[in-house]
Amino acid sequence: MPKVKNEMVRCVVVLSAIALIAGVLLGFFSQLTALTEEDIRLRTEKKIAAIYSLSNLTELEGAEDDNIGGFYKGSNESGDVYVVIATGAGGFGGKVQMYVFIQNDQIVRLGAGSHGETPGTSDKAFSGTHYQKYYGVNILENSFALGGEGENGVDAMTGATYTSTAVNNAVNNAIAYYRANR
Amino acid sequence: MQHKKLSQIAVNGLLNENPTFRLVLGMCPTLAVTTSLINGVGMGLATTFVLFCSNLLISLLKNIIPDKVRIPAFILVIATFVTIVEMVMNKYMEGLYQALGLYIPLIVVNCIIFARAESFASVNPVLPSMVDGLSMGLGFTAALAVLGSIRELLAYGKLGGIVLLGEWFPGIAMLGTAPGGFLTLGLCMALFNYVYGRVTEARAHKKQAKAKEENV
Repeated sequence: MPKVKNEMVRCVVVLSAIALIAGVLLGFFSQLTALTEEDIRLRTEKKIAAIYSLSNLTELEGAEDDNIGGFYKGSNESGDVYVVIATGAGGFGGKVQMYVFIQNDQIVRLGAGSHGETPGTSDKAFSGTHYQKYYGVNILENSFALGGEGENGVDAMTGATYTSTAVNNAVNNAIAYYRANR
Repeated sequence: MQHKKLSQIAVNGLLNENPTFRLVLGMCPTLAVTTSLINGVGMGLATTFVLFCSNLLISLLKNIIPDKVRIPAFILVIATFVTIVEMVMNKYMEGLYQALGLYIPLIVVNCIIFARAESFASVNPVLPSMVDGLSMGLGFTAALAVLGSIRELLAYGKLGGIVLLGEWFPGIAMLGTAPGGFLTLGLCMALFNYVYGRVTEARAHKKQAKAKEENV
């Protein structure tokens, strides 16, 4: 009986010691590799540049919003462009982040941010064909309705309905934020 | 003798017991991330690092870890190194980190790592365990690189992100999908084993002939 007890104690001690050392090591690496605000800003700007080329990109102050990850202003030869980084719920893998580029109160470009959607299956909802449905509509007067009719009606992509819903929600969140904070 | 044994271990991981083509282990990342050469090499090197470090540590601790809790202990060690790889990749290799996504934390359950910890590192000294981890990892990396290259080239006409085949090449899009991964893996595995079988056979014949000659 004491032998069994000793063995159990040994198992617990060894596992605890390994877990403790692992914890310390991970804490050290977590500190070492933590992303600074500067890292995050640079990554965001790099991502924006990869989707749509803008000059004089500056971050704008806006109201706190859980669905908004950033609000920027840049410009191109046609004038000022606002960039709203917004998330929308309803995706197959949770929230979907979208980069929404707005010029003259119209969406001129969309780009996908981070998301947990299934690669391949969700591709259609992140395609130029789907994004085109959002371009050229006055967003001060309209929000987009999935399955709705008229110029603000957007058809979901067959086979990627959940992702289309999340993309639509993200775009509408971006529009609402733009209206309130531009 | 020791030198010969180490070189044998090194060759084992790359050829005789290649984890992908001979042992058919780690199929989940093999099929999922080999859509391009860079993704394949990235996943392979990440796995190599984890294999090397976990083999080293498990071999060092093999006499301390009680047999009853060896599996949770191995998982703890492997998960620690995988988390370190994930954090470092997120900080310094963002593109690769985004491309590999969920498959980085899934290295924890990669059966190659666990198999080597259980069957090799826990019963062998430190140096052979390190060599085994390195050679198994490099064997895995080479296999993923081959699969990634073939799929990227034939599906998109690119290699390492550089366009090699011009616009005339329509691309076999299916090879970029999961069924294409299975198909490429099957064909490569068949070719590898055919060549390996022929080479081994030729060597055996040569050895036999030499032995006969010596007897005569």
